Amino acid sequence: MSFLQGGGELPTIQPEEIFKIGTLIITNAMLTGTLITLLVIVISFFAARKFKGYKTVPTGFQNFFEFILDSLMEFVDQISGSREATIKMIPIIGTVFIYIFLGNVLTLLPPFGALTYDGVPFFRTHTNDFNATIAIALGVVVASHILSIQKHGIINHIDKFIPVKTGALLIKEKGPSGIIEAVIGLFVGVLDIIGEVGKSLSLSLRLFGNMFAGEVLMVVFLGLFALLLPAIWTAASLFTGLIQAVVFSALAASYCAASMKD
Amino acid sequence: MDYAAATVWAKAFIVSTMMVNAIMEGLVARKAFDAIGRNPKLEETLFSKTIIAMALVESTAIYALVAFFTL
Repeated sequence: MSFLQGGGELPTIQPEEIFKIGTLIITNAMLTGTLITLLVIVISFFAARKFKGYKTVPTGFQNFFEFILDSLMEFVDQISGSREATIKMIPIIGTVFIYIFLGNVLTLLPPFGALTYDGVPFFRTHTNDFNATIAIALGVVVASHILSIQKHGIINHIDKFIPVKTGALLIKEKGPSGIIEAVIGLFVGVLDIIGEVGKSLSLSLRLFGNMFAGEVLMVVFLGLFALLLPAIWTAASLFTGLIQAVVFSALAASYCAASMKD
Repeated sequence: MDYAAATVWAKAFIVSTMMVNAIMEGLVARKAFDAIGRNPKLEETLFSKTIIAMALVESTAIYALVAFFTL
């Protein structure tokens, strides 16, 4: 039965290095990330040039891109509740969705999973790498803070965590019991700050764990029964990649919407 | 007990905590089907929200899996 069992090596948590520029190590996950960025830039540049004459009834390329944009805006509308909030959030949320979705799916397509360089795969799913996911999650959490500062102003934004303004008002109005309420507000604010760290960690670990476990299971299935099982698992991997991208962007949109509300 | 034996026990314990995740996902599915049966016109939006809820419930099991791989 051993001709029905293929081989493979388990992926490591830290991606392998391809070459160095000076003292900066370039890994294969970084190459995939750069490739996806270039792909998205080229496609959007190409799409923008075709729209020199906007048609009122769209056809072809314009139809496809309008479909993507409309679906994304409807999806974020359900979470944020109002159209103006969606228009402010859609650059970050849409970009994160497209980046993560293409990244999850790219290595499963034919030419990209099989190229090797010196025995090491040349392109590796970049969401497989904890460095990439924590970078995206931190970026989204910082963006939610920036959106809140843009809408409410910086003193009101700090007031949500450390109650400088409401604390002063409470002390002026109510005297000693106001001090107790201000201190309680301070404790709740410190818990909120710890909650922000928890948000970014949970976002990144969810995406990383799903993608990494998918690749490990792929190697295990190849070693188990290489005839039909890896094909079924590839289909499941495509589906999981889409679901994880949807869940990541839905959570990111809810954090941004909650910070822009009063 | 030496380090390798303790690591094996720890891995077994980590993996066995994922049982609860399976039970809870079944409960989410049960309530989702109840809701679809009550109001079949809302099937499309209920389905997508159910999938998102299941991915969120799954996330604790994924944290356990990450801990498993880093041992």
